[in-house]
Amino acid sequence: MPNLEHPAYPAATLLHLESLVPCRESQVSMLLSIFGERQQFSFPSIFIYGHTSSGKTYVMQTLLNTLQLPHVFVNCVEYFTSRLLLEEILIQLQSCSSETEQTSRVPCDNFNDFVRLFKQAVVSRELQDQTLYIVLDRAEQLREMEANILPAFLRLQELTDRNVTVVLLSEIVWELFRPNTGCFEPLTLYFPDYSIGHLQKILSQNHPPEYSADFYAAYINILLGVFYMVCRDLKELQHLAALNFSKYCEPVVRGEANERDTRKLWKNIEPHLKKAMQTVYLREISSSQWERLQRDDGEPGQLKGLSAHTHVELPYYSKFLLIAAYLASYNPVRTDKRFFLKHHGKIRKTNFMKKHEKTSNHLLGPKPFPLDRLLAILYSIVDNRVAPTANIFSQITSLVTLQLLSVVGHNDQLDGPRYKCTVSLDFIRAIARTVNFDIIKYLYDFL
Amino acid sequence: MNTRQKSKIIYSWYGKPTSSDRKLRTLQYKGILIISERSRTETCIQLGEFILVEGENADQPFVAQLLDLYEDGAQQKRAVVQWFSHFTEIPQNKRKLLKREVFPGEVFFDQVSGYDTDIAVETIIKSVVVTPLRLGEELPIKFENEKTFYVKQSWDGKCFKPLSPDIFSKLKAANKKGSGIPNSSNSFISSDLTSPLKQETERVVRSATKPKNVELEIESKHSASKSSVAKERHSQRMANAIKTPTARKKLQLNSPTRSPKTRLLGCEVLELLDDDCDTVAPLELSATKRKVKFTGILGSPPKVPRANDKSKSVFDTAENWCSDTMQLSPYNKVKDCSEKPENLKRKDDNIPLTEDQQLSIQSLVLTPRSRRMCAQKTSARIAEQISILNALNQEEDSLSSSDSSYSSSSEEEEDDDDVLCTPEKETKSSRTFSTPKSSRRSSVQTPAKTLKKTPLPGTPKTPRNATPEIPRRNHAAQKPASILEEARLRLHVSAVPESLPCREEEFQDIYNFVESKLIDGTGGCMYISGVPGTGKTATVHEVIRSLQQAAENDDLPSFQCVEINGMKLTDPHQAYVQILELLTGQKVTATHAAELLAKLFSMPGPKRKTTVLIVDELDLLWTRKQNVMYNLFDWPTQKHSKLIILAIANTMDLPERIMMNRVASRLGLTRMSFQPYTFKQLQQIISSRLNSIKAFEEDAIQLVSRKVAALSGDARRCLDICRRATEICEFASQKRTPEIVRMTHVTEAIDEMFSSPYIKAIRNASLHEQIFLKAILAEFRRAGVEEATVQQVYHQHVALCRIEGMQSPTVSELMGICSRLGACRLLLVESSNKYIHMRVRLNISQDDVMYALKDE
Amino acid sequence: MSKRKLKESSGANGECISQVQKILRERFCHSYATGKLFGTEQQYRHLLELLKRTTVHGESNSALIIGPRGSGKTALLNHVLKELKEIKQVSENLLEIHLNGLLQTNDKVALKEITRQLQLENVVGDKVFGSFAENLVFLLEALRKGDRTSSCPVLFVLDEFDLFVHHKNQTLLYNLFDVSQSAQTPVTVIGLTCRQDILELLEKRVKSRFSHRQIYLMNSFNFKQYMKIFKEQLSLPAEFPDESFGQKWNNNVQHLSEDKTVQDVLQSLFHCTKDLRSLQLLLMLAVSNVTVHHPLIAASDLHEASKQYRMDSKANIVHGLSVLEICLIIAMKHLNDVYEGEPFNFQMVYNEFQKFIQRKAHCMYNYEKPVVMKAFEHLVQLELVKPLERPSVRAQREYLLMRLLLDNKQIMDALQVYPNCPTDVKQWAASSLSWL
Repeated sequence: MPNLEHPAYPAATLLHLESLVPCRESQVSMLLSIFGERQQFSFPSIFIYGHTSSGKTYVMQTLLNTLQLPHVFVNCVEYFTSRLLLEEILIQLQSCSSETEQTSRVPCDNFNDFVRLFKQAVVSRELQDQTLYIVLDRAEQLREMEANILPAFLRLQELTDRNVTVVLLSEIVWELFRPNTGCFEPLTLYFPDYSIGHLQKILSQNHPPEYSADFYAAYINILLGVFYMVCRDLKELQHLAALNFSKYCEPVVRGEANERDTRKLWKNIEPHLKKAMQTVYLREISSSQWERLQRDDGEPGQLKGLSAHTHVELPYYSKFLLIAAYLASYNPVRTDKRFFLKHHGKIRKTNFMKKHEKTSNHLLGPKPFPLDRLLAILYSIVDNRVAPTANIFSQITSLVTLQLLSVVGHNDQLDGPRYKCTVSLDFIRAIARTVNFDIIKYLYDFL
Repeated sequence: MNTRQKSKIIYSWYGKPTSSDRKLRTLQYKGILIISERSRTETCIQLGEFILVEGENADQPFVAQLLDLYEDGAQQKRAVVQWFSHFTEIPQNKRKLLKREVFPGEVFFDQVSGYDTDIAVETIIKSVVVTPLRLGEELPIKFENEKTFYVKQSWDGKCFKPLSPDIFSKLKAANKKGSGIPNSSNSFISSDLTSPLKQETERVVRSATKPKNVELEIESKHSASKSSVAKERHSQRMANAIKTPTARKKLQLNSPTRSPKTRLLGCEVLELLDDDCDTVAPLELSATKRKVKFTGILGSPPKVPRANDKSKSVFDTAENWCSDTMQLSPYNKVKDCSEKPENLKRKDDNIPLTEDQQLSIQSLVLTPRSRRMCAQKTSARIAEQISILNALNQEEDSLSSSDSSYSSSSEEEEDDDDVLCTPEKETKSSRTFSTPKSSRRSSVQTPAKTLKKTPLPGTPKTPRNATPEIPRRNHAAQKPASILEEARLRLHVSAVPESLPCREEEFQDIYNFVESKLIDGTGGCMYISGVPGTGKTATVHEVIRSLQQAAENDDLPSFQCVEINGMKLTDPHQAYVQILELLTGQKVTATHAAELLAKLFSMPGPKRKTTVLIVDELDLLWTRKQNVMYNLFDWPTQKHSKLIILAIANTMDLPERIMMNRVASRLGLTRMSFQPYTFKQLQQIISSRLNSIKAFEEDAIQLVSRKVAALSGDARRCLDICRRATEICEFASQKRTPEIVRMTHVTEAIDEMFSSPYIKAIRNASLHEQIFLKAILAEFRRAGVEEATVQQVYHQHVALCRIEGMQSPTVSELMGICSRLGACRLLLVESSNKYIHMRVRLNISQDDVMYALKDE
Repeated sequence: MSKRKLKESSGANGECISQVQKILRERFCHSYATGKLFGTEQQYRHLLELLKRTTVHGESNSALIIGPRGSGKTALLNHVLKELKEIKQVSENLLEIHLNGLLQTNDKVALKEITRQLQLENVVGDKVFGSFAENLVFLLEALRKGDRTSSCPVLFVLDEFDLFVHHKNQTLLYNLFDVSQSAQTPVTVIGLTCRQDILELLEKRVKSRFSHRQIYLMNSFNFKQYMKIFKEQLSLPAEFPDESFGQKWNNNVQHLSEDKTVQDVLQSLFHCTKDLRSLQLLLMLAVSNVTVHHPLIAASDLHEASKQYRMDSKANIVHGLSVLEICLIIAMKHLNDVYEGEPFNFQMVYNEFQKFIQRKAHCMYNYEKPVVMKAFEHLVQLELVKPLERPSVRAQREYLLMRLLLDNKQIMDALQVYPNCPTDVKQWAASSLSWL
């Protein structure tokens, strides 16, 4: 007998439903029992939370559709203002009550009107005698709307005095939703994440016909072996699996190996997966690009993602400006003397005892610095004489527009603008290398 | 008024000074010459003639007889007149003294003392005819002459008397003389204007269902044409007051060149009518009235039915409105042909244009503009249901650049039910006879009228003249059965006591203040302050009531009283709207209302009563620029404003705190503050209310009053407690015979109302909630600050649980507990999306918490 | 009774199971309308008398019903109204206006709603004509025209009363209370709120006009009564169609109430909150498991339900994280320990993580910084980590200051149950700062 059973629905539908939701049977049966029979009251509001891609939306949708329960399904990101949201709900209501075929946009700008219109919309027979479900996906958005929206939805059953149940779906736990003066506490359900076994099962399900199931399963196994540590997002994994499978079965195609010897296959695929982790997983190149790269086995240099793109073409002085800016924002002011004074006398080492690294500037991030300090450093690091021409200043502004520098505070400050350098260490090192300037020597953190 | 106005019309003496008074240095004259520059018409009015004199509003010029004309030392042209009263100028309550129906256009020979008969010549509009009738004599049914009034009886403020023969003969004589005047500017306009009117009205008579309707339309035409001049001036005045797009300048350019026989004129004539009622739309010229004149002029049969059913349903009005405004062009073509003869007629007797046509030309200058606007605006809005309202607004806006919307709609409304006199309304019948003004007057008295604005005209399902009322109850309310119930009834705050005990001297002061102002007919304001529940408003009302009594039996000049309440306004500027509505019944936008009021109070109305204005909850009229307060207190300082303001608020130093100097200084120093009641007074109040009902023990009452006096001195509190006490008493003594209220009951009532709920709440909280509170205390003690994050408290909580040896809640549960305590405000918590980092504070003193948790 | 006997008896009555479901669901989910009242007789009497006087004598009044959420304020009111309605003389002359602070978020809307519910003459269908100002004047006028003896009393019910307090100038409240204290149409204003400090929120003029009647509902019952409530809530009514089953059910409920585990479950719930709603929620979960094959509630059901009810949500979320993300969490935990909960940025976290990797290189593959960054951002998305201020364009992501929204205890608990977690990671989590 199926482990889904419910008096209200025929067994066949339930079986079908069960087949649709692998590894989510328990949740579905839980939901079914809570929903009860069509005309019975269900809990006024249900809050379902669970990890990214743990099948919240999918399960709700399949459940409601296969059982043909009257429902409204709205994504709060899609309809991001209360007005949009309410109107959308009303429209969907019109469509699910059979009387009114034509769906017309009804203006509804506050919840008061919504409740009124809602009542009007639900008069139709079949809506009255069965529970209506309003599912709000990505419910965390509701917190951004007016304060009354969320509490009102939670007690919609009472406000409208109709048999309606509001289901909220979110990745975020209920505690972070609670309004300040409390509200009607919803019934909170948890959708647990898929275990590795589940993932294996689900991923193996869609194996290509030309290969045997367990061959594909083995592949999935390898894939999970690499990625499971980093990512348990089912969607991501599916994407990756689809992308890399061709590569995986290359040896088989070439006939170098049969489907059995996994070792060889693993040897073949592993580096690719590693690369994939740095590029595809980070979405730094599109899957089409990735496939192209796969085809003409480019050298690893090309394979680097955007994050690794450390060379940007800049004018000569701009590079120095950037370096100067970097130094200015990561070195304490008092150390400038030591770094940039050309002929300083013998220095007392004590000044430069390396401090405890918890205060390292590379952890705390760049500090803002005034313009003149930047220029001073610039002059000292550029060998040949450079005049403070308009040219220089214009380059500074262009660096700001490139968001390599950022202006701190307002420009209308009396004491001139203050800047921050917003580039990463290896970026600036790459820059420095192009003008062969050893920046590490000048960085206080790396003394 | 203003200089531009003067430049329009020149008043000069007719002939040489007849006699001159040396010591008064005044010169008598026998006639006045009114020359209107634009039309180059000059009208001569001589002594003994009957004249129209400007009133507060243009639709209702006063009727008077010119007795004397002189120029005083200051070269001011003055006139002495004998007043006649319209029926509607007679106080509502006296009207019934006249035992009969009133004719349209009937006036009464006015013998009321107190109206100054010495007026400025500039206020004279033109001459009219007043025919005296014997008492039996019927009103001759003929409407040729629009400007004929009939006088049958005299009115001396007490009763109506038949005209004494000598007066009668005098009037007769005057009439003859008056009609003999050759160039009284009105004769021909009437002749050519009224002939079509006549036919038209007959048509109306036939088509109209209710005779009232006819009278009304006649009436409306009557007043319309009669006062059209006044209207024109008035509208000009409006125009000057509110920057009209420069209509008049254009006019000067155009009017000379304009020859009557241009093909245009036809439609212009019709437009001017269409338009002149737009011009005066703010002055509430009724849509129907316009309609009638309209059809009257072009006398085209198809229009008449429209005119009538127009008066039947607002929606039609609406329809026509847009049709008028939008499809003017096709419309005009029809007119032109029908107009031809008239133009010709007008051409061949080309005497200088009369004021009326003057008006027409002026308005026709601005017609194109306004028409264009309407056309495009309406076409833009045609989709919307409420196009009418908008159309109206734009027309009005095009003239007065007044912003917000509903005024015009309301006018529409009002006018409509001026027209349709629905039988179920008694007030109507009188009103249909009376001129618009009167409808306004009456509207002040009958609230039913003041509120007919709400529906938008034009939306098909608009309920016409919605009257605000709560349905009646089906079963009569029970009479109080027992003593206690009786007592409770008397103790209810709403029960109006026979007198206000303990406020005698305040009463006297206010009374004297207002009385003195009334007597010497000046204005002034008084600021009354005091904490809530000290009987400020009640006292003021009492004062007004007794003053009105005095006015009734003529110990005082009569006055009208208007009250607004800051708390009952949605926005300070609404004050203008309400005041104006209560005074005159017109409903306009706030900005417009402000202008009208300013005008009303700044200009010397010869027959205007003194106004007493009660402004309750003054502090809510505060705006950033304080212009509302400023105006309110500025008006009384005006020379001619007979305005007395009683401003009530509950902080003594309000003027100093929130008013800027210019406002505060105008408020002046006449102030009075109501002290909170002492316990003796409260005692007295209670017993006076209870008078002779033995429901309370003496010391029970004393206890209450002492308690309340100690707390707030708020009489309301006091009464409420007593009431509650009676209930408790009743409740306690259900079984036995109802006893009287004793100390115990009172005490119970008192601490029911004043005991702090927190302790009880904490004691009834669940175990973990209590522990959480303990944890907070512990955390406060540890950290030494009155604030902690949930995380810190959580640790404390877990520790406490460990001590108590019970399983500690999960963070989720703890958050739940915290938010529950926060929801009933035992705690103050931050927004919950900070989770364990949200900061928590106690909303009560630590000691209270300790105390509450101690004896468990 | 023996198991098999139960089986066949149950086999038949699929019908009455659904009956049971129907009745109990109605009771639990629809409590505001049909729920029973417990230990509020006095308040009930007070309110009843109050409303009676309003309707019968046309006496104006105002009162507040104050009590924590789920203490049955609405239920109380509904019951009183129901009883009143049975008195013919009352039912015919009482107008009810129901407002809710959640719906009427400002006076403009509220006024329109009142006018609509009163069906005044400026209402057509459900359209209310006129502007805000006009509506106010209209309503006040309507009320002013009435008087005590002749016109029909109006009952205003203001749910979520505390929200009305925040309307501009408290105009609505002032006017309602003012009417209730002056010789006009008799009105009674009943406010429902959960805020104990409600009176302090009223503006002094408004406060003065409010007759200080406060009806307090605190769920003031001890555990014994709580058990009684539990039984009443769960047991079927006498008029249940199938007596035999009804009997069986009620006996079972009786047994449950004596069962130790059940008592423990209820005890812990009672300790946590006295709110009856949460009890109903618990029962709801239990009842929903009742089927034909499992016709009577077992103690285990309640226990399951309470487990489901009591689990720590954050722990759940942590449980679903990938190992890398767990590592980051642990790194943050250490940072918190080092800097006494000072905010941190990604750079620091990454740095900690690096150190861990260097020490325990073998257990985990050293990921590229961007990969780690991505994991970190997933944490942010799950609001396990929260930036102090909204991230701006110019700021570098790795230097945004963050806070960890988890308590060490939660982390450790989560790690205990975390599936196949590398031991080194566990150790690292457990380790204090010794390795520094």
